[in-house]
Amino acid sequence: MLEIDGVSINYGPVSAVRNVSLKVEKGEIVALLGPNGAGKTSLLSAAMGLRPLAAGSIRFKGEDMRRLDTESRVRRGLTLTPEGRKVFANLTVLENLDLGAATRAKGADFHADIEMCFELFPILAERRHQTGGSLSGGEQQMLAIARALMSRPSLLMLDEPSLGLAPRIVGQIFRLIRDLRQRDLTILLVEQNAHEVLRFADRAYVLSTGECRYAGPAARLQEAGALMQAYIGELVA
Amino acid sequence: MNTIAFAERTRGSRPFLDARLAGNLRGSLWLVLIAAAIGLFVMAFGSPFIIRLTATAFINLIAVVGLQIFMGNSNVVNIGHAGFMALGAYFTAIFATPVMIKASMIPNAPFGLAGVEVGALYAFLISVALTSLIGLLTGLVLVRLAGIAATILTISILVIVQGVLVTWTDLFRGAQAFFGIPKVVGLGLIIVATAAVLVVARMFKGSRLGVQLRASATDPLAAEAMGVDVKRLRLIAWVLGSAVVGCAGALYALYAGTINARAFYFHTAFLTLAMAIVGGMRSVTGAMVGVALLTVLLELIRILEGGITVLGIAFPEMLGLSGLMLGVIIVAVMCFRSDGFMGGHEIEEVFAMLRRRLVAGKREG
Amino acid sequence: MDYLIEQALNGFSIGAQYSLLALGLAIVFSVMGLVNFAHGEFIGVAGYAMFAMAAMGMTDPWLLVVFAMATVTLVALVLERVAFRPVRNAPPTTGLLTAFGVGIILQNLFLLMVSPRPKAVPELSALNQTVEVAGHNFTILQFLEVGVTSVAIAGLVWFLKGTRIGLAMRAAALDFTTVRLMGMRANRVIATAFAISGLLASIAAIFFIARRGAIDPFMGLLPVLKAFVACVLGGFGSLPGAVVGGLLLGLVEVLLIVLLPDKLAGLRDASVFLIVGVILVFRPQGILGRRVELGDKTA
Repeated sequence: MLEIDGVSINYGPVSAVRNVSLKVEKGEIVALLGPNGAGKTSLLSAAMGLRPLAAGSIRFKGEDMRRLDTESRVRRGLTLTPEGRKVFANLTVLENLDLGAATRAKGADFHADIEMCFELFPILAERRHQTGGSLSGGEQQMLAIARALMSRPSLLMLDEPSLGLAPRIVGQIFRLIRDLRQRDLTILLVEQNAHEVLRFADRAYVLSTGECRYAGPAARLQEAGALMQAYIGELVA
Repeated sequence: MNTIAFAERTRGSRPFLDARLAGNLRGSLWLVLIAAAIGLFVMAFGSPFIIRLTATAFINLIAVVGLQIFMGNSNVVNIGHAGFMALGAYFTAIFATPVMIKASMIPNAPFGLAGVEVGALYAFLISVALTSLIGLLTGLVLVRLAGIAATILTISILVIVQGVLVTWTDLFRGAQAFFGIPKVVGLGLIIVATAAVLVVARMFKGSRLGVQLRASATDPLAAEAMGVDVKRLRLIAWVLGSAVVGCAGALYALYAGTINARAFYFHTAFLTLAMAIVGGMRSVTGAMVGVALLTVLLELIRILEGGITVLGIAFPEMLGLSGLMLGVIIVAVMCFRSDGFMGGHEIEEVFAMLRRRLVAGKREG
Repeated sequence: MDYLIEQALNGFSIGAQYSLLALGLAIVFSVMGLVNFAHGEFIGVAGYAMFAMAAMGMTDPWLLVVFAMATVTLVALVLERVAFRPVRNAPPTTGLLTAFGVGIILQNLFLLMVSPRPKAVPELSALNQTVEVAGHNFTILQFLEVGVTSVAIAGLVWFLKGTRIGLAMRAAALDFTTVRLMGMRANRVIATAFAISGLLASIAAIFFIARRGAIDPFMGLLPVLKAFVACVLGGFGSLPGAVVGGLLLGLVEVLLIVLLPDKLAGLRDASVFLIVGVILVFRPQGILGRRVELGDKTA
């Protein structure tokens, strides 16, 4: 579904990502792991067209994304829940969800989708008239995911959904993400919290200092020491 | 190079400091030489009209350099400088104008100023000192503000100065012209003053204070974290800039002999601001280039404005054409080269670049 | 007491105009961080549009008003596309200076195409008729200013809360990138902000022109400066702040007209700006604004 091929990304003279290739097939949960500053967020930003590519190509559902702006990529079913959640703090929960559906008309299925979100995240239904800024971290993450679902994406990219959340909440969020698979959703999950994610991801990539260090089944990284090896050196799958 | 790192480096290491000092001196020298060459050429061969145009251009250059000292180093848009020009001009006028003329012009001046007459030089010095003092007082408020609020405050200064000049008729003659100021300054003295101001601006830009101030403009938090007192730096730049702009006003008074408050309002503010922008307000060389470009261009367009006949076709009067072009140039510069013509570079940097390119070209050839 | 009521309404009606202008400035600023120095020229655009129509023989006031509003909105959209889009991602100073250039262009276009001298636009002067309400004398215009401005603000609130693009504009004030991640077109959001700012300015312009009965090329400069003042008073970028700042400014101006003798009339504008300076000393963030630190992303 998503094919990232030989992508490099630069920030001025600094190279953030070098020659990284990555593939996500329909129905998969793919984990993108790596330490801080490995270039994971840069890669997702580039996939959304927020960062220019220095080299390589990005295809989504077979279509070349390089010429499309961010908005058009969202319209084709590619969605990113950004790092730090980025819920609209001055908008209510309902208004956040409304904006999430910006690519679609406000028809009957819009209201059905809102109900679906409230079913998935009952806490949001309770807080529907509260502003995004007044929610707790966990609630904000749920809102960010719900908001992304409102665009009816075919591929959902999540950037560090567990960041800054209490362990109990993290478990809850990960369970939700796992459940999303049943809704015919493909997921690319960026995480530092590797061990948790590897338990339910199908495949995994490890990025370190801008280069791909591992690409293969998630299960293999669960073997003792394998992850550490991938982080610091090269692990050939 | 990262300006913060640059500022950090300027703290220790003597040899580097000396090299930089030499660079600044060399750059200043080039600017002074070019300015003096143009000025002397005009003095020798120019018609009275050209001489007057050049003198005004040099006075504008002093004002633009004063503007550059604050704006170019702190990145706050300043529109209040025309007010300081007015202050410089009026203070000079009050102190330098002969008592006899003042007796009929401002007989009721407060503080016994109608009976005070000092020489033009002292009037000039007093005027620059008073302008700097007002710069200091306004600066204490200004440095507390950032961005648009600071710009609004500079506009406030302009409007308040204008209001006081127009209303306080006993001292400033209000909307009427203030005349009879001794015309002791000619193009020659203006060139000398311009040269001095160019050197001051270059030395300030290159000094430790200037470098730290520019670093703080790009990243105020990082600069504060480094222990740079941004407010103090801004205050210094603001006062220095005010003094230089006041100097431009004072010279204008002593050159023209007659001044009018309306001449130091938004029109002047916008024109000099445009000169700074077009040349590139991050460099002193840019100020010079901007003044030269706009002076020549606007003068050419003014010929068109009056309605001329080209190849037997009579063009009608087109008032507003020069203003229109001014606006178009500003927008075009902002859209395509927001750093202005010089792109923030100084003249010796351009020479160095050309030299490198020349050497590289020779090697290839 | 009578005098007080009359002057208060006068203050509110003048303040309403400033509020409309300040709102337009604040909307564009909050969405794209642009300080639109050319905003005042919308008044000139409205004035010269009406003048041109009247010169062609269309003197029906309603028609003129609608034409002026449509022209200003259109000009706002064109300016966004031609002048402000290229500097959209540039530092705030670049945007401010671009706007300043656009203002100079518009002023000189009026000067070049019509005349440097003021021109009469008498078609709306009927609005200055006095009416007596409960023993007080008011002009029709004063009621219109207060009434229409209230309706316009209510309409704006509805738009910002009730439509998706309105939501996007509010969200964009905090985080434009994430708004784009929702699939909302950046160009549409910004163009809408400009259209609204133009529309609000055109309403203010019609009131200005009705009061003065004349237009000149530089008529927009002082109002836009006042609108800036209103914005700064209320906290730059805050929409409620712009409204409150505008009303406050109107009241202060009327107060100054009452207090300052005619001999000191030249100090009226100076006093307004002096008050601004004093307020900024004690509350650099404005009256309703939140505290802004030196490193914050403001213009």
